[in-house]
Amino acid sequence: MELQTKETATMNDEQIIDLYWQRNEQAIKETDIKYKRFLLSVAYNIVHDTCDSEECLNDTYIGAWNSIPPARPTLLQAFLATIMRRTAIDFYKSRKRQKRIASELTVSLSEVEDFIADDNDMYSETDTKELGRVISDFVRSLSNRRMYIFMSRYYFARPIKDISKLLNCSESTVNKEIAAIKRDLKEKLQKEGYSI
Amino acid sequence: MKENEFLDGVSNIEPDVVERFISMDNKLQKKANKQKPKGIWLRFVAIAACLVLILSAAIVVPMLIEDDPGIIPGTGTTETPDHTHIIFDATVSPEKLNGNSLEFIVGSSVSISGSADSAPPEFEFSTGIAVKAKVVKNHPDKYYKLDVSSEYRPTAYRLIQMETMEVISGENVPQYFLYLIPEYVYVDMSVYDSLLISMDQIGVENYVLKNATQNRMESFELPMFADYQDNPELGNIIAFSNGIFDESLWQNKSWLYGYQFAIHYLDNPEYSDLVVSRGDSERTVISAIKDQYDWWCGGNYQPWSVTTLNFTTKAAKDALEYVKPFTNGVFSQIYQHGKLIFRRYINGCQTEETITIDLLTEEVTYSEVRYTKEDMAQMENISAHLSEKASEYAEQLPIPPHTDPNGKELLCLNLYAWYVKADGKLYGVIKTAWRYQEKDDWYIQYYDDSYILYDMTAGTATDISRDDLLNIVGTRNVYRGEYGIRIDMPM
Repeated sequence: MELQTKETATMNDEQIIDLYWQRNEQAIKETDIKYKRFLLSVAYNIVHDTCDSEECLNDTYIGAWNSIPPARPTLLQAFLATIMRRTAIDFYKSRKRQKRIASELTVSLSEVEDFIADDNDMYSETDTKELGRVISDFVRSLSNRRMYIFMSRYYFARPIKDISKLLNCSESTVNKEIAAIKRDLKEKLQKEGYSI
Repeated sequence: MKENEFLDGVSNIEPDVVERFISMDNKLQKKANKQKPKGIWLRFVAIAACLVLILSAAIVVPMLIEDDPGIIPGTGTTETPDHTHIIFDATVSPEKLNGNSLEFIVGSSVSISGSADSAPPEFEFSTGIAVKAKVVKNHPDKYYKLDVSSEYRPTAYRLIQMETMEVISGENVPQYFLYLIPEYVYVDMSVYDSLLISMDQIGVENYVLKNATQNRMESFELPMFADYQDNPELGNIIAFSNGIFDESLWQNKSWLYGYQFAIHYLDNPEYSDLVVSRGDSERTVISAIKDQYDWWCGGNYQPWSVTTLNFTTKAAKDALEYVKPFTNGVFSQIYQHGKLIFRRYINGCQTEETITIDLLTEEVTYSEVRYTKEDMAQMENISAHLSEKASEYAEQLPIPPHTDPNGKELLCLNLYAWYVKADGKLYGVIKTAWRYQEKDDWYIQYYDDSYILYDMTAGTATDISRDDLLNIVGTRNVYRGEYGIRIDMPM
């Protein structure tokens, strides 16, 4: 029984990014070797479907191919994670319209239902870029620990159990911290004039 | 704000924040991975764990069926002469458990990391309550929690009464408390002068445990603490003798990971994130723990206070009276999102009846389903049926109905039971659940299950399909996903 990931020699990020800049398709292969598992886990927590996760992965590779150059990410993993999250969120929205999804993201969203409405068909007037800036400021103001919990839960939709394992604390402790983060975020959003 | 706006707003979190998270995540993942022994050692431990579990299933189940007091585990009981006046303030249930109410499992717990063995020990203090304490008394009996997760094997516990000597972190920490420790790492800790313990509160007064040695329910007046839930290990206890770190506690041979891990990292402190090194004084370690909290929380660490129930509203007081053990049945306790949730158990099996008290507002919510004394009088003992099933499976493992086990490795086989009240009728359900993984590829896993429905009114027991069961009892504990390939994604 093989319980550990097989070790494979991988390039460093700088070398992989150079391949993208050289328009060398080996870049995708190297990205796949190094980050496939991580990226699939990002997608799976959001879409909760193996096939959809694979599809998101392909779209992410295409996204990276199209973005680098001109982009030269400082941290390739974070760059890929951002593309993967956006791709997976698009899948999630489309599946949600078809009412066929029950992912960790759905659970994490239900936690913030006191400040979001489920009426997604209505025209949105919110500038989500600006909202992103406000949330970024909020996350920057958090302690390392709370930043980690917020991003794990609401950006990567990780299960509470996994977060608690990594932080070496109980699920109830993480839940308590999430409650405190939510309270502060709600306050921040209200202060910035968002209707909640 | 609409859901999609929130989602898009979070998607637009700026790159430096994502990068900061990824850097921290990599560090934590690496640390978590390096805590796992590698290669042949891991394999050996996994096999050993499976054997122990299969053996314990074979031993524990018949023991409870026969109402045998069984073997008292551990290294024996200890009475500390200075504290003989302190007694275990347990109230014993008049309702004696008949048969086995435990979850049956062959194999081992299934964790998202794909590791088939028990979790490795953690050597860092978790957030929450941290104290310097000493053992007042070890309880000889073996206990089980009511609210074990269905994903995990039922862990047997021992109970230790502790006295707080100094609070490192936390507010309202009581002078005496009960500490629940997994039996497989239990050792007599009264031989140490002091212990630094990181723990979480898992229960307020009237916490109920199953006493497997005496085969009865007991409730306790002192608040209950444990290492963090579902994943308890000895690593969050650091022992001291004469004010100096005493690593002998970590060398409990039944605690294989801990032994390996402690030796490795104590020998190589340059690779270690432990808060303690060989020869450290108690003061040094306490200070290291505080520093660690500060690092995580930017110097503003605020521990969670110990909760005591001093409700002021009549509704909350009435609810507490309703869930008081043994006057109206037995209720488990669990905290969630600032709420204390009590769940009714009958014959050691879950029901869907819950009473929720908001600790801040004291608002009380009763579940729609309530069990009356008349209901309970006509309930069949589903846990006795569970025992029969467990014995049957101990003789021969069942075949999963939707999965071909060829080429797959059995990760675990769970068996558990619960009560349901639907449309005024009373039912019991027994569920058998299998988890397989592809041989040589833990990435691919398979899930399967089967159900038996006991109709208490008609007095029948029927093998029932999942769809029919869903129609009758709703979704509680009933798996709704597809059978076949699934992936338990690593983080």
